[in-house]
Amino acid sequence: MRASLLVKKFLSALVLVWLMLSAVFMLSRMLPGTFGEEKMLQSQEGFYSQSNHTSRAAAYNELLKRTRQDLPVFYFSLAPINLQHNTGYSYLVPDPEWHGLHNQYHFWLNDLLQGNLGTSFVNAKPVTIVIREAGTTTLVISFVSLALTIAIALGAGIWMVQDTGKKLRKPLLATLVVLDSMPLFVFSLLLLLLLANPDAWQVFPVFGLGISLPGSEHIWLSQAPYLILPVFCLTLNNVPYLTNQFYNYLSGTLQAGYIRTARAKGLPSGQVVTKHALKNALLPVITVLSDMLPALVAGTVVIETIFAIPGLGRLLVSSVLARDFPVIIGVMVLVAIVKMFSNILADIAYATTDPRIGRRAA
Amino acid sequence: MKALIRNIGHLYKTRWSFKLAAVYLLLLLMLILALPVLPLPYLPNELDLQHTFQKPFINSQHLLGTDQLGRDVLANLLHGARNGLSVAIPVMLLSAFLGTTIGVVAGYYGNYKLRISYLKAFIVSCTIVSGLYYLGYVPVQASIQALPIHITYTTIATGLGIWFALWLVLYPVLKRFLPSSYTIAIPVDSFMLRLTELLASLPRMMLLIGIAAFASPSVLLLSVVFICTYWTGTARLARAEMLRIVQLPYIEAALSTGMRHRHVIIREALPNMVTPVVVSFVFGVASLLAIESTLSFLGIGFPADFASWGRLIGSIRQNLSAWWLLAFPGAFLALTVLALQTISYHLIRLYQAR
Repeated sequence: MRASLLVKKFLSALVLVWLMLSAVFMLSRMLPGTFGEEKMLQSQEGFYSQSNHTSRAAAYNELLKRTRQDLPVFYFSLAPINLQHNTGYSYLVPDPEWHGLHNQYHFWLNDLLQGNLGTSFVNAKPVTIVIREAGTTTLVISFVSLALTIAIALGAGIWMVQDTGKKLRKPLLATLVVLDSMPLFVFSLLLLLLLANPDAWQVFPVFGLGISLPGSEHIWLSQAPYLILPVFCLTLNNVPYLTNQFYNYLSGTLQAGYIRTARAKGLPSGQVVTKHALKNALLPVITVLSDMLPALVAGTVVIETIFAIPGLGRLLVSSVLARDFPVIIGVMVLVAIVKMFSNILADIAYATTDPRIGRRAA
Repeated sequence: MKALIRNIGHLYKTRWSFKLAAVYLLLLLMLILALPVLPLPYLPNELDLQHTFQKPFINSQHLLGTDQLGRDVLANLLHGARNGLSVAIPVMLLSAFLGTTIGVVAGYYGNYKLRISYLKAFIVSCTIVSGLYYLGYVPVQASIQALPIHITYTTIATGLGIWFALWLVLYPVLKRFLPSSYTIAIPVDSFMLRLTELLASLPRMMLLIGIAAFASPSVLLLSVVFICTYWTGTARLARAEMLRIVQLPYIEAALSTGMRHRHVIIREALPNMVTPVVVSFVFGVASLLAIESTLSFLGIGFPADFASWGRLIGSIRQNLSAWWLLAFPGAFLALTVLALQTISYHLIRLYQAR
């Protein structure tokens, strides 16, 4: 692929990500109800605060100021409809106001470009650190699961198109369909009930990642048993789709003329599949793989919530329940960027494995 | 349409799995429709704190047991089915309609075929901008700030008046002075593709969770978000089908008889793509059911009093030995999704074989 095309693709992807994140940011600021408003502005004495109303309002204003929520949201806005100030029908004429650079969006975008995602509302830690702490576990889980998924799908696909797998092909495909129809959370709860329950078989540890002292050397070894069940669930959730896709591509490729040639020259059927058909059947799988990221993200959210693993998915769910906007937007920024790069990577991989594409596009 | 019904009849007679799935779905639908007259002893949100975590088949009052607050599993199961489908079906109907419209227009007109005069483009953009202010911004602001109702009425009346003036006064008058031969091509196709890419730049689950975080839990808001994100699938499919159909000879024949584009799309092209659209609809309903129950399992987005399978399953986290909280709703959920997928699988196979 030519470099100019790559740059063009990268720029257009960047614009899309910027638009999407801006929309999410604007939405988060424009929907009513800010963090802490409910608790801090209640008129009666609450459980958390016995101070009087004015001091609480002062504290609330302080919070708004500190988190810059007192500034206007965007560069311009329409003046709010105010019945006291203007009489008659002045609301019928739009009244745009210009706020200049001193607005929430400008500051947010500035910080974002400098790699600063703000601080969490909940514990005042920088969002980048919160995300990095949670991210490693998720990264390990999703990478291991993705690798297993690919291995299983390729193995099953190659096995099914060959004559040896002919008998079991139909029941296997049917099993995959049934497996695919079971939502991930139902499936993982089922396994949890069966395999990690004192009432049934207690094979695996149930929740969390165990106790890990900071600085201990064999941290991964001690955590591994806790990760088996989650990784297994996540893998089995993604296997049916990928296997099906790969099987379809492979059996489609086997219809091609050059396969008949290979067969005619007397190659054993295993070699026909692995040496000749596989390369071409792998091409579309690259795109499918980069499309699997959303499923992986949704999967980690569910898996980490069920198995109580302190990763990005659980961070996201707990931040949503706490309305911790900087963390939510931070996770979204991360996922959007990862998705953008995986798309570009898929394009490059596609172009390098199939030189025709780069030539046609250029 | 006739062909689709004939296909369904054919599949029903020849494929036992199709028949099984169809019968199951019909039974479920009938159960849901008969829900108001069924003699259920409890409502889904009725608490019975004397009988928490009741095992099934023991208490005749709670036939399928109860959860941690004594809510009846059977009632929640049936109401959950109704709530799930009453979100999934209307949402998918609307998004299939939206997606088909956008995809068909994009696929048929491409980037160059849809041309309108500069004057019309100007009037249309004026219509959109004034509509956004008078029929969108001001009424929404008025309802948020609880302003007197006459403000809403006057602005809507003004907005409609402006539209009236634009289309019935300004447009005919200006048309006399400006030649309509100056036209501008509207790139509908690349517009649609960019929009789909934009919506795909964040995983759907992420978007749903994020928006659920910013607003208070509401079924209506979540349905709107579902529609906004689900139309792209149908649109992509409809566009691809349209690209294939447009180059068929019979479209050219229809055009050469002097048919207008609009009529060609509606009368000639659309009937040929009913099956793929129906398949994407069925598939979408299955996916929406799964996503709805996942969200209510996580406790995100749906109000706490929204009875659903996901909420029922979620209560198992309080007590891992309460297997009945997972078994019944989980089996129903998986069966329903499986039935819907079976039906769409058979339909697409028949369509591809043709």
